[in-house]
Amino acid sequence: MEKVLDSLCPYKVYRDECGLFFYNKEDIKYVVSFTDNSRSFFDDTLHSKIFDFGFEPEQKTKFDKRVRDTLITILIDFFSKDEERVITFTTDGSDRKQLARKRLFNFWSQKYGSNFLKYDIELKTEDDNYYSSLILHENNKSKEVYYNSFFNIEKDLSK
Amino acid sequence: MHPIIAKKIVAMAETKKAINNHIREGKDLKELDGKGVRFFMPL
Repeated sequence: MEKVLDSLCPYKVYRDECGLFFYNKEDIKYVVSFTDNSRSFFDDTLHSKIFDFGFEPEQKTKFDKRVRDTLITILIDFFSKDEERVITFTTDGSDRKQLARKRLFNFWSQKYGSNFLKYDIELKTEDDNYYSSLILHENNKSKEVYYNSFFNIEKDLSK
Repeated sequence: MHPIIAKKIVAMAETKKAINNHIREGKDLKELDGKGVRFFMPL
């Protein structure tokens, strides 16, 4: 396994074939993933730079500030490589804690996301509540195109 | 909300759930690669 970001992160970050990972102070492995999410956008000119971001510990563990700082460093580094990249973040509701995750992500965004734009969407169904966000760098040249393609489906369908 | 957007959000959440379940079960994420999920190495 290869170390990345080891000089910047509270926890050393490694990568394997599917993504990044690190171990918290309890030696629990956190897996961080970026998956292609271009199919969620309806504009064919937008591709190859849209990713869904996720993280999950392999076992239940206490969430500590160093985990938060490590994840934020990963995200900032992700955008520093290319400001045209776009992230979506959708909460996992399998443990019914999706609202808590949404609030946590909102807090991070307010505290550390001064150079980023974050747009939220909320879906409530009979079975579940879903929260999803679109995150772009403020310098993204196509931010309006991404926003419209993600949220304004009527506009895209009328093309 | 347009039903297509709603369908998209649910699909994204289901994908996230599948990935997280895989992680919690200690399985190799490579098993999901190409099966509706394509992982990207960002760094």
